[in-house]
Amino acid sequence: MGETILVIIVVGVVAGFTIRAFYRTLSGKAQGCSGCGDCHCDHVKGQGEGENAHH
Amino acid sequence: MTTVISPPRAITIALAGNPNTGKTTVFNNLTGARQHVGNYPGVTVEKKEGRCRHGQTDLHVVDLPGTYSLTAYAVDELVARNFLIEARPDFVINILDASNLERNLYLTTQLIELGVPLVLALNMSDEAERRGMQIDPQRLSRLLGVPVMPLVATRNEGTRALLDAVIAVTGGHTPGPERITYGEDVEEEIAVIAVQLVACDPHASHGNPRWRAIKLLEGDADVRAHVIAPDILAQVDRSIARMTDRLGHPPEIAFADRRYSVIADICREAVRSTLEPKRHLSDRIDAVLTHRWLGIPLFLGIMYLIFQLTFTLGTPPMDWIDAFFGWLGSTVTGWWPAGSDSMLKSLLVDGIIAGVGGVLVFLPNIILLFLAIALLEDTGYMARAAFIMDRLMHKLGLHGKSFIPFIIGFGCSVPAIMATRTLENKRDRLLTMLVVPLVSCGARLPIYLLIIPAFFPQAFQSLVLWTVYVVGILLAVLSAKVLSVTALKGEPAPFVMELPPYRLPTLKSILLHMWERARLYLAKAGTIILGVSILLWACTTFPRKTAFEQDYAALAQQAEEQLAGDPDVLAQRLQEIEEAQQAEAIAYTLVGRAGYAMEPALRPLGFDWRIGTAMIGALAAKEVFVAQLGIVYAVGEADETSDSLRAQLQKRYSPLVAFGIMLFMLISAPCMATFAITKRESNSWRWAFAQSIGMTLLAYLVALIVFQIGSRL
Repeated sequence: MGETILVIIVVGVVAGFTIRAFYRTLSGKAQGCSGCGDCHCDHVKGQGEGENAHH
Repeated sequence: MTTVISPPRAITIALAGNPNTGKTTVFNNLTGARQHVGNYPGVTVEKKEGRCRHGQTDLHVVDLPGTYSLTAYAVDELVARNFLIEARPDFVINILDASNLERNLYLTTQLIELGVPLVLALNMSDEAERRGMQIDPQRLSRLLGVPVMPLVATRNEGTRALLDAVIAVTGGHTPGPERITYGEDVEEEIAVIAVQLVACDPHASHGNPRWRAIKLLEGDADVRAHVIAPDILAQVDRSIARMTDRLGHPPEIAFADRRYSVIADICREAVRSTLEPKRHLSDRIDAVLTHRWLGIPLFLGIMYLIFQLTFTLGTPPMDWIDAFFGWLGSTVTGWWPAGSDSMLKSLLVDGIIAGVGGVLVFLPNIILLFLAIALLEDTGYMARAAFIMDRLMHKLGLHGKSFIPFIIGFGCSVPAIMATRTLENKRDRLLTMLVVPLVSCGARLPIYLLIIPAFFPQAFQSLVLWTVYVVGILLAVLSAKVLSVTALKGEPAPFVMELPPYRLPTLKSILLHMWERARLYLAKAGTIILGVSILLWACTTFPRKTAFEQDYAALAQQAEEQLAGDPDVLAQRLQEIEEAQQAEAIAYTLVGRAGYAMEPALRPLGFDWRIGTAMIGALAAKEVFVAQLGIVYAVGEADETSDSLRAQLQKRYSPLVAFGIMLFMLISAPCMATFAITKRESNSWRWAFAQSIGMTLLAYLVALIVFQIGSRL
C-alpha cells in the first residue's frame, strides 16, 4: 500500500512538472538564449544587443 | 590661376562597407557620444545617425547597413543603395577591411560606378600587416582615382587624416574616380542605353545614366521599375539578348567578371603578400572540395565516413553502457522477491531504467557524430558544403544560405530555425523554416541506432543510416521546391558567402563542442525524457486489469498436465499463455487503448499499436520513441529474464517495416520545442500547424509507399 502511494505521488509530481515544461515550451517562456552562437544571433558572448538579437 | 573653393559649412557623409569591417567603430570615433539611433520609415534595416564637427565643418554622419554589394536582391543592400541615390549624401566613406581587400573592393567598384564622391578608409591596416600584407595606399589611390586613408579604428588612429581627406574631396581638391571599362562591345551597349536614358528621361533622379544603363543590362528589377519609357526597356532587352549571344552567358556575369578582374589587377599592383604559399594550399584544397562536379559526391562521401565512424567506434562503449543498465535493472529487480508485481519495482525497472537507460545507451554515438561535425565546422569545410550546395538549392527554390540552417539542423531543429534569421527576405526565411525539421536532427539518431543494428547486416549499417540522412535532405529541398511554386512563390536572392580559410581545429574547441553536446543530451535525458518516461510508464500500467477474459492460470495448469512429457513444447505453450495475458493487460491500459485505436490507420504501413504509442510519445522529444518502446516491451514482458529491446523488435518486425519506421520518424511532425519555435519565428500558429500536419501527412505517404511497394517485391 505504501509503495502504491509513493508511486502515485511520484507520478503526480512528475506529471505536474512535465505539464509545466510543456506549457513553458509552447508559450515560448522556456527558450532563453544560452549564447551558444549556433543560431548566429547577436547574443554571442561579448557582443551585446544588436539588430538580430531575438532571444 | 587656381580657384580655391571653400569647404561647405555642413555636409552629410555616409559610411558604407562590408559587414564586420569596423564601420560602427569608425562611426563611434567620429560622432563620440552624440549619436542616436533612428528608424527610417518604410525600411526594415536599422541605420545609425550622428553629428560631429571637424574644423569649420559640421558633419552629419549616417552609418549604412553592412553590405557586400549594391544589388537589389537583399533588403539591406537596397536600403544602402537607395539612401546613396535618393538622399544624395555629400560624400561616402567606404570602410574596407584591409586584411580582406580583394573582397571588400567589389563594393568599392560599385560605389565608383554609382558616381558618389568617395574616400576609402583602409581599416585594420595593422591586422593586414600582421598577416603579411603590405598595402601601398598611394598606389591604390592612384589606381582607383579616389583618396585612400589607412586607419586603425579600434585605436582611433587615422580618423583626423580621414576627415581632412573628406573635406578635401568635398572642396573639389581631388580628381574623380577611375571608370571601370567593360570592353568595346559592352561599352557600346551601355552608351546606347545611357544616351536614350538622358534623352527620354532627362530628369530621372535614380542614379547617373551610365550606372542605370549597367544596372538595366544586369537585369536589376528595381532600376527597371524606375524606367518609364517602353522604348528603353525594349532596347535593354535587345542588348541583353545580343550580349548573351555574343558572350555565351548573361551580361550580369560579364560585369561581375570584369569588376573582379580589375580588382585582381589593382591588388597585384598595390598589395604585396608574404603568405602566398599558404593561400595557394587553401586554393588547391578548394579546387577539389568545391569542384563543380566532385563537390557534392565528396560531401556525400564525407557524410558516409562520419556514419561509419559513428557505428564502428561507438559500438563498444555503447555495449558497456547497455550492459551497465542491464546490470542495474537486474540489481533493482533483485530487491524484491521473484515474481513480485510491485508497482514501485515496475516504475524503477520498466519505466525509468528501460526508458531513460534506453536513451542514454546512445550517448557515445551522439558524441562521436558531433565530434565529426565539429571537426568539419572548425576546419572550414562546412562553409564549403554550403557553397557547393548553393547551385542545387537555388534550382530548387531555396536560398543558398539556407544550407547553413540545414547544417545546424543536423544538431537540433530549434537553433536551425533561429538561424533562418540570417536570410534576407521573408519568403526565403519562412520556406527554410518550414522544411528544416526534415533534416535529421541528433534526437532522431537514437531511433536509427536502435533499429539499424537489429535489422541490417553490419556491412550495410552505415549505408542505411546515410540513406536516411540523405532522404531527409532530399525531402527538405523537394518540399521547398513544391512550396516555392505553390504557397510561397518568388525568386530566391543570390548568395554571397565568405569562405573562411582552412584551419586546424584546436583540441580545446573540439572537446568543448563534444562536452556541450553530451551535456545537453544528459540534461534532456534527466529532465524531459525522464518525466515523459514516468508518465508513459503510468499510461502503460494504468488502469490495471484484474478480471481477464480467459482464466490464464487454468490454461497454464491444463498445459502443464497435457504436455508434461515434452518440456520444450510445454515451455513454449506457457510462454504463449503468459504473452496472451500480458497483451490483454496492456490493451486495457491508456497506452494500449490509444495504440489499438490507432492501429487500423497504421496497419497499411506495417506498424502495430506499440509503434503508434511510441510515435505519440515522440511528439514531446524524438528520443522518447526509444524510451517508450523500451517501456512497452519491459512492461509487456512475460518473464523476468528479458530479451534485449533489439531482439524484441527483431521478433516482431521485418527489415522493411523497420526502414519504414525510421522514415516515418524522420519525416513526421517535429518535436514540441520545434513546433513552438516555428510559431514564434513565423509569428503564426497557422504555419506551425501547417508544418506539423504537412510533415505527418508526408511521413504517412512515404512510409505507405515504401511498405506497399517493398512488400510486393
